Amino acid sequence: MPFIVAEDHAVPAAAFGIWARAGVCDEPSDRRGIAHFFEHMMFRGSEKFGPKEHTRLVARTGGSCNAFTGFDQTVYHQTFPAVALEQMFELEADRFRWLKLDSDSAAVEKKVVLEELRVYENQPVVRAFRRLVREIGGDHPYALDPLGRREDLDAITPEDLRAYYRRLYRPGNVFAVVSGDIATDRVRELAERHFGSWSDPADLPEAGRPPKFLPATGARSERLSFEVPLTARVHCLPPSDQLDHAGLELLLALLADGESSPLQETLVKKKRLCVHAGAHHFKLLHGGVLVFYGAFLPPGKHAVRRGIIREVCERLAADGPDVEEFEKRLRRFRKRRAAESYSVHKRMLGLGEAQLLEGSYLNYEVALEDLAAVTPERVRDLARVLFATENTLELDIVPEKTRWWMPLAGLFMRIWRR
Amino acid sequence: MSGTATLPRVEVSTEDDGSVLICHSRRDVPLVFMEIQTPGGRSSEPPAQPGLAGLAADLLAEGPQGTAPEAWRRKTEGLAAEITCAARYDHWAARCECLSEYLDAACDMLKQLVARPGLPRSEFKRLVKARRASARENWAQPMSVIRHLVAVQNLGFGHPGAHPAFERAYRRAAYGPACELATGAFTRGAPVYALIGGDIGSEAGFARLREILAAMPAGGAGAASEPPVAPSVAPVWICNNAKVDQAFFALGRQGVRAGDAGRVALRLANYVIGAGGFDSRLMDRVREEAGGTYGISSRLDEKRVASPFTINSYTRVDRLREMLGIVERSLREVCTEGVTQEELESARGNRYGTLPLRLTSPRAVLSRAAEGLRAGLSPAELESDWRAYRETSQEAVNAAARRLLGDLRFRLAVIGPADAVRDQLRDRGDCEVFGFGLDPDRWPRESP
Repeated sequence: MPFIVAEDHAVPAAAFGIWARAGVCDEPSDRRGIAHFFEHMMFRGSEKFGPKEHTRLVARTGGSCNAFTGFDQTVYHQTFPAVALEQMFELEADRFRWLKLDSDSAAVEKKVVLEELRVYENQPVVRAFRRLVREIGGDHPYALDPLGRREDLDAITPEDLRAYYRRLYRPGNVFAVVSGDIATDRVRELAERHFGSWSDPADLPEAGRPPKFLPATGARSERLSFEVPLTARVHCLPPSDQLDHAGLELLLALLADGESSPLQETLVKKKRLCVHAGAHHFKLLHGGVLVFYGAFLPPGKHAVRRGIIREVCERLAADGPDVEEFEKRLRRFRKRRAAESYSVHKRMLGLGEAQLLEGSYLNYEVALEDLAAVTPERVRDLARVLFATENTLELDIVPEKTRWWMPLAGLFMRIWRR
Repeated sequence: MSGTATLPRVEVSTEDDGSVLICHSRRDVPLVFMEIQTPGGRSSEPPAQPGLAGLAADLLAEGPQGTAPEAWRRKTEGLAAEITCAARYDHWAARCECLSEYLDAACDMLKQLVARPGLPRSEFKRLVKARRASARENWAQPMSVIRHLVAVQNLGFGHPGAHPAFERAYRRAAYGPACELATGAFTRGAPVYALIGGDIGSEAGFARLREILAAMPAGGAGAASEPPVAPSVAPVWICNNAKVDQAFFALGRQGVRAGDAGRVALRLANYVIGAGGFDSRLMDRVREEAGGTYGISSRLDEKRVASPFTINSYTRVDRLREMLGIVERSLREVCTEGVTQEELESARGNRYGTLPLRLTSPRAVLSRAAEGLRAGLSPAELESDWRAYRETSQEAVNAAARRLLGDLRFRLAVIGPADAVRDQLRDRGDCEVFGFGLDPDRWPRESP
C-alpha cells in the first residue's frame, strides 16, 4: 500500500487521508449507492473499535474526521493534533482490514442513508442539478447520483457490502496521504506496523472499466427546479490521465477567473446581462466536463447570453490569450497556493487528488512550475480542441416555474417604472 | 495533546482614540492579511430594510472615489489581492489579503477604500439584481429557510439576529439609504478594531494600520441600540411546504451572549447535547440508534446581541412525532441525570484539542482575538478559557446544560406538508400555519 508523506512543521497539526479507488464507477449496476452506503458502514465498527468509536476517538483529540464518495474514489480523512498520529493509524488500519458488517448496523445505517438521499432531493437546487447531470450524461455512471437509487439501496444486503469490501478495499486498490507536523521515518514505521502484512485476496475477478464519458453535445433547453435562469456552455474533457492539467487551469483562469476576466467582465459588468458568471471543471478518470455559465434575471434572452459566451471562447481559440494576462493569472495561482499552505488538510487533499487523477502526487507539488511553463500557444491549441463544435453543448436552463407571459410582464414592469 | 501546548500569540495596541490594533506575525508564508472593523453592519439596518447593509458593503467594494469600478477590479486582481467589504451582524469589515511583495500597493488600496469610498450609483442596480437572484434561490431551499424561521420565531423580525434579507426586500432597496449606510460605515467615531497578520512584524504592521486609520474620516454614531427581543406567542410555527417528504424542524429558546461568565461550561454542555457531531447525545440517539435523520445538531451562538439556542434536524414526515419524542427525552435526561463522565471527557478533549487546529492561519487567529476583544475579553482570558476546558467540573457542565435547556419548553418551527405535520403536533399548544413562500416580514408577529 503506497504512502505519500508531506512534512510541514509550521503548526502542530497533521492530516491523514486514505483514497480507495472505489466509487460510483465500481458499483454493480443493480446496486447503485453501495459505494456511499459502504462509506457510512466504515464508521460502524471494526474488530478493535466499537460502532461509534472511530469518530469519538478522533474528536476526543480535538481532531475531526469524515469521508466522501465520488465517481472514481471514496476518501476517508482526518485532521488532528500531530501527536495523535499513531492512534489514527490504529483506527484506519482496523477498519480497512477488519471491518465488521453486521445486519443490525446495516439496517439502521440504511435508514440514515435514505434520509440523506431525501434531504438532498428536497432541496430544489440539488434536485435540478442532478436531473441536469442525468440529462446530459446519459447512461454513464458519471450521470448517476452518488447517493444511489432508492430501490437499489433497499435491496442491498450485508452480503453485498462484504463482497464490495473484499473486492475494492485492499492494499492494491488504495493509497494514503499524510501531511503536517510528522516525520517521514515515523510514518514509514507506523505504515509497516499497521498495514505491512495486509495483502490482496488471491482470487479476485478482473474488474471491468466504465467506457469513456461522452456527455451530450449540440444544443438543448431544459426546464428544471432552479429559481434563476441559466445559460451554459459545456465542453467534454478527455480522461484525466490524458489531460493537459496546467494548460486547462490557465485556460479557465484566463477566461473566467475573477471579475476582470473576459467572461465576467463582459456578461456581468459591461453588458449587464448576467448577475453571476463563471466556470468550473470536473476532472474525472474516464472523462469530464468544462462548464462556462451565466445566471440572470428576469427570464428570457438566452440566445444573446449564449452568443457572448461562445464569442469569448472562440476568441481565445482563434487569437490565443493576451500575453500580459499570463503573468497576472500566475500571480493569482501563487497567492492561492500560499493561502492553501496554511492548511495541512488542503495539502493532503491536493496531493491525493493529483495522485488519483494525474497519476502522480508530485504534480501537486510542482503545479506552479508547470503553470509557469505553459505558453500562450499551448492554451490556444487546447482551446481549439476543447471548444470544437463536436465537443460542445450549448445549454439553456429555464426555471420550471417560468410561464410564457413572465418575460413580457417583466418588460412591462420595467417600462412602467421608467 | 501535551500539557505544554500553546495558542498562537497576538500583540495588541490600544490607541489614544480607543482604536484597538491587533497583530499576529507568521513569516513562513508570503501573505499578509488586514482587516478594519467598525461598529454597525447589519445591526444598523432600518427594520423594514433587511439586506440594505449587504448592499452598502457591495457598493463599498466597488472601489474608491476617482477610480472607475472596472479599473479598480483590474488593479486589485492584477496584484492578486483580495479586497472585500462585508456587513456582519454587529460590524462592518473591510478586508485585504495579498502576497507580501505587493503589500505597499495593497495597503494603499485598502486605505483609499475606507477613506474615500466611491459608491458608484451606476453599479447599484446590478448589485441589487445579483442579491435578488441569490435570495430567490436560497429561499426556495428548506434547509436555508429553517434557520431563518427559528431565529425570527425566537427573536422577532427586525432584531439584528433575525433580520433575514429576501428578494422583495432587495427589490425595494434604494440607492440613497444604501449610500447613507455605506458613507457612515468606516469612520473613527466609535471603537475601531484593526487587524494585521502574516508575513509582517508587529511594529511594521501597527504602522500600516495607523496609516489606514488616520485616513478614515471622523464621525459616525457607531452601532444602533439593540431592540427588545419579541418572540412569537404561538409555540409552534408550521411553514407549509407540500412538495417535501421530510419535516425540517428547529427547536429554539433564548441563548446566551458573548462574554457570558459561564461560557466555557456552556460550550462543553452544548458539545455534549448536540454540537459535538457524532460525539453528541442527540446524534447518538436520533441518528445512530433510531436512524431517524442524517444530521442533527445544536447551536449556541455567542453574539453581542441576543440569539437563540437552537436544535436543528429533519426526518421523514411520518416520523416527526417519534423523532421529537426522542429529542425531548434525550434533553430531559441531560437535565435530570446530567452528562456522563465519558461525555465530559470527550467534550473537554475536543474543545481543548480543536482550538490550535483551527488557528492555523493569521486570519483565523486575528478574527478570534478581535471577536474576544469586542466581547470584552482580553487575550489572556481567551488563553485561560482554553485551558479551562480541561478543568471545568461535571457539576458546572450540568448546571450549564440545565441553564441552556431551562424548563425544556422550546418554540418549534417545522417546514413540511402542514396537514401531516399538524396531526403530529396536536398536543403542543397554539400553532401558526403559513405558506413556505411567504416573506419573513409577514410571518406571525408578537401580538396575537
